[in-house]
Amino acid sequence: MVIRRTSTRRLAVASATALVLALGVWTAGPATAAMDSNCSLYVSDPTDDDTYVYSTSSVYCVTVYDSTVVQVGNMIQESALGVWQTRAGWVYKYQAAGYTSLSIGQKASCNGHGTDTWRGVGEGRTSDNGETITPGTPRSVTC
Amino acid sequence: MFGLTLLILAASCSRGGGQNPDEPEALVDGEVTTAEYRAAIAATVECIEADGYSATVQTRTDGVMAQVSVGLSPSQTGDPGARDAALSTYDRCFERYAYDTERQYFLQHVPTGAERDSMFGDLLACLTSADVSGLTRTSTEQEIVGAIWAQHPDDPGGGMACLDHYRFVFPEGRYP
Repeated sequence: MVIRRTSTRRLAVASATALVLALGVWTAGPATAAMDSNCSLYVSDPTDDDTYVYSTSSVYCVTVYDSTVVQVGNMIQESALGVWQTRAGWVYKYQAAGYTSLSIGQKASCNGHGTDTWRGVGEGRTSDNGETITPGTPRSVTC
Repeated sequence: MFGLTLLILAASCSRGGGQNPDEPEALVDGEVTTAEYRAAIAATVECIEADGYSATVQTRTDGVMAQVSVGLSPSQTGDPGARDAALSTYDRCFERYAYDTERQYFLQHVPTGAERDSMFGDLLACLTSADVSGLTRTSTEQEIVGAIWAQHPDDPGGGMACLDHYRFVFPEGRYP
């Protein structure tokens, strides 16, 4: 693999690295982050059993003293000619405020699709009505 | 090791074998350092924020990789169109600044030999504690997934969390 370097790009990398080192943590972003910072959203990589592609979303909160999880969602997408198409739409699970974890699974039929790229997309909402979404890692799946 | 080599070759060729010209220079020596990976993720976050969204980075449950999340403003909460727009921003930024770097960083952490065997044993123990039974060291990923969903169709989260925690055991197909 041939990679070209330019001084501008080195400077950009150095600047970004300095930013991360200055923060000292993985988190970044303004204080307007939607889901409470006490909680984290995870979405699994797509997996299959030769008939369906599966994905799960989970929200975990550290304590019940801050905002807690009230909703989690998941959907599954397939890449068609480089464009993500939803193959199994949003499903949700809800609960009252005061709980620290919630998860949900979704599945999409992949019968007859051969080898293609899939991903799960997760969604979470906390009791302060903040909402966050994140896509999972894309994966080539053969059904 | 041969299998891992094939995996790396396949991953290198699957998108035309070219590096995204805007992605940080992490792959010139074929090795992505943690600092280089973090720089790629930071550039992705900066790109998302430039579109007006908040972004959060957390370490995945595998303890190695990062996961970037996009926050919606209160006025966007529950709006499907706003979610689609946020996803579009994420895709553009991640593809431009981090995809190739993250793929290489992931492949560098795929275990082989005894290390992989040990991780597979940990995966099986995790699945047992999640009340998923009937699996052995010869079980394929498809068989494990089938067992999780057959035994816990209404709440597969525990078993699936095990697969995600030990995702390096089955690296095939990721980052095509």
